Amino acid sequence: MKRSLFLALTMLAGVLLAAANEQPAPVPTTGELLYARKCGICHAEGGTGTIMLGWRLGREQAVLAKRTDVAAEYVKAVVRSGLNSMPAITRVEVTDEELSAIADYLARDTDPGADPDE
Amino acid sequence: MQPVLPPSLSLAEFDRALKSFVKVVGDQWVLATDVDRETYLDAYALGDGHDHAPGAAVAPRSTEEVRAIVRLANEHMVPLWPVARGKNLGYGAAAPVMPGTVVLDLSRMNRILDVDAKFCHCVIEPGVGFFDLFNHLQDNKIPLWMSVPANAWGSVIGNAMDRGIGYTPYGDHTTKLCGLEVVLPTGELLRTGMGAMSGNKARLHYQFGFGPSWDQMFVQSNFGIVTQAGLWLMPEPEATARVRIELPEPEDIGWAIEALADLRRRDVIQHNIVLGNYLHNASVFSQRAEWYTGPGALPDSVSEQIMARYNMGWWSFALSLFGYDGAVRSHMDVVRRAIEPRLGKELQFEVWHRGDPIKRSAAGIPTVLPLQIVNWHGGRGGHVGFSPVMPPDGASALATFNRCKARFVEYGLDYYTSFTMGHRHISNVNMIIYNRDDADMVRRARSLFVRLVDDAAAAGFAEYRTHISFMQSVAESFNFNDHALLRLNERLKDMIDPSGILAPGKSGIWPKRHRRAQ
Repeated sequence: MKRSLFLALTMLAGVLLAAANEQPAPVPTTGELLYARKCGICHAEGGTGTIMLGWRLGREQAVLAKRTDVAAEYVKAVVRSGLNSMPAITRVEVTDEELSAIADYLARDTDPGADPDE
Repeated sequence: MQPVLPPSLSLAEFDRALKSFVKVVGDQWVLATDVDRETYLDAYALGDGHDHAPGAAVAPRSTEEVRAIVRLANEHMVPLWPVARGKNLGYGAAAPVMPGTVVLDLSRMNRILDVDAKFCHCVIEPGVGFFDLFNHLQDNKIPLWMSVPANAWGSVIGNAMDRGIGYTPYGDHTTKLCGLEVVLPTGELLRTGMGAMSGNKARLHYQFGFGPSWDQMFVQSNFGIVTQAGLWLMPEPEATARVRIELPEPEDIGWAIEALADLRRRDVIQHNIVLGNYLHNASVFSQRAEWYTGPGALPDSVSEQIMARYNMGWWSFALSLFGYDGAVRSHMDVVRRAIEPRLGKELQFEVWHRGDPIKRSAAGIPTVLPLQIVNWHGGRGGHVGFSPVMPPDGASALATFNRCKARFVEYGLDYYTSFTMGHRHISNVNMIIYNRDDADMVRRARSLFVRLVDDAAAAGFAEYRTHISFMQSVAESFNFNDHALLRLNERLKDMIDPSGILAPGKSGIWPKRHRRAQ
C-alpha cells in the first residue's frame, strides 16, 4: 500500500505540475483518443498496466504514452499476441485500423531506427 | 496452421459455414486467421490453452444478425460459444469448453438503449462494459449508481449471466436483471417476464411476468443467447460511510463471520463483503520475489513480514453503509457495537454526502487493479478460483480455512483466499495464482484445484461458478439422485437445442450429439 500511495502522490505531483505550466492543450489525435478509450483502463497513469511496466522496466518507462522507444509494429505485435500478464486483444475489440492509429500515436516520438526492447 | 475443427466437421464443411457467416456480418467480422484464434484463447489458461482452442470467431452487430448466424449454425452443424465481451478472466475468458467451437463475440452489440433516471433502470446490450455504463451515467450526470465486480473490464450483462457480484446493495447482479431478450438455439426470439407481452409498459418494473419465469434458465446455461436485458440501478443515496477493518489473527475469521452474518441478515450491512487474507492485497501491491524465492508455499514467517510492511492483518475487509444520513449514522453505531469489542479498537468511518467527490463514496467505480495479482510470479501469470458456497458459520469457515491452507502448502502454492459474504451464504474463494511458463507449477495448480473440488464435496459444499476446464467435474459433484439435475438439463438441452449447436459443455451440459464423446 505504501507503494500505491507513492504512485498516487507521483501522479498528483504530475497533475499539479501540468496545471502550473498551463498552455493550450493540443487537440488529441484519433490515435490518442482511441488509446485513451481502448488502452487507458490499464495503461493510464496509475493503471495496472502502468504499475506492471514500472516494476519490470522502471518508473521512467512505465507510462506507455510518454515513451520514446516503442515502434508501431512492436505495439501491434504486443496487442495481438499479449505480453506477460497482458491478454491478447481481438480484432473485434480493437480493429486493425484502430490499432494502426494507436500504434502510430504511441510511436510518434520514437526514432524509427531505434531497437526497442519493450 | 491447420484450424481446430469442431468434432465431425471436415475443413471444407467448416469453411462453407464461415463463408455463410460472412454473408451475414461481412468479411471483417468473421475472424479465422491463426492470430485471431490465438486472441480468443484463455489468457490465464492452465497450460497453453489449446485444449479449449476456438475454431474461429464471428461478431454480429444486431439481434437479427445473431438470429441469422444461429440459423446458419444449425444448418451447418457448427457449434457456437457466445461471449458478451470475453473478459471472464479466471473462468476461461472468451474460450469455449469444446475445441473448434466458434466464438460468437457480442462485443459489437454495445448500445445503451435506455436509461431512466426516474425509475432507476436501464436497457443495455451485452457488449456494454462496466466502464461504458459508468461513464455514460457520469457524463450525463444521471444520479444512478451501478454495482461493479472486482475486475470491471467485462460486460455488465455477461457478468450478471455468470452470477458475478459487486459490493453495493445491488451487488447480486443476476437478481437485478429485469427482462431478457433471448435468441433460442433454433434462432427464435423470446422476451421474458412482462416483456413476453408485445408493447407491455411494465417490463422493466416486474421481474416475473405470468406463469413460469424462465430467466434463471438462461443463467450459466447453454439454452439461449441474451441479446438485450433490463437492469435495475441504484438511486444515488444521500450518504455513505465506509471503513476498512484489519483482523490480526487467522482465527479471527470465525467471530467475524458470525458477527457480519447477523448484520447481513438484519440488512444493517446491505452489500457483499470480501474478507481477504494478507495475500489478497500483497499480490496487488508487490511481487513474490520481493518476499521469497524459495521452494514451496510462502512460509508463515514471510507472511508476518508482509503484514508488518503493509500494516495489515491476516484478514482485511471493507464495510459500507448506504442510505439517508440519519440511517447511515444509526447503522454506524450498530456496526461499532458488533465489531469494536472484539476488535479492541475504534472503527474509523469515512462518511460521504451527496455532492462530495464520488471517489470518496462507497459507490461502485470500475477498476481493473485486482488483475495485478497475475503478476505475482512475474512472466505470464494466470489465476483460477475455486469458490464453494457455504453457510455463514464461523466454525465451519475456520475449519475450511485450515483444510484449504494445508492443501495449498501440500501442493507448494501460495495460499490466497477470501470469504465473500452474501446475504445468506459465504463463498470461500481460493485463488490459485500461477506462472503459466512453469509447467510444474501449472500441473500442481491443476491438481490442487481437483483436490479442492473433492475435499469440498466430501465436506458437503460445491462451487457457484467455475472455469471452463472444470465445468464437467463441478457439474458432476451435484449428484443427488444419480445426477437428477444434470439429467434434467440434458433433456432440456436436447429439446431446446436439437442440433446441439449452442455452447456444448457449458456448465457440464452436453447436447446428445457430443455427449457420448464425453
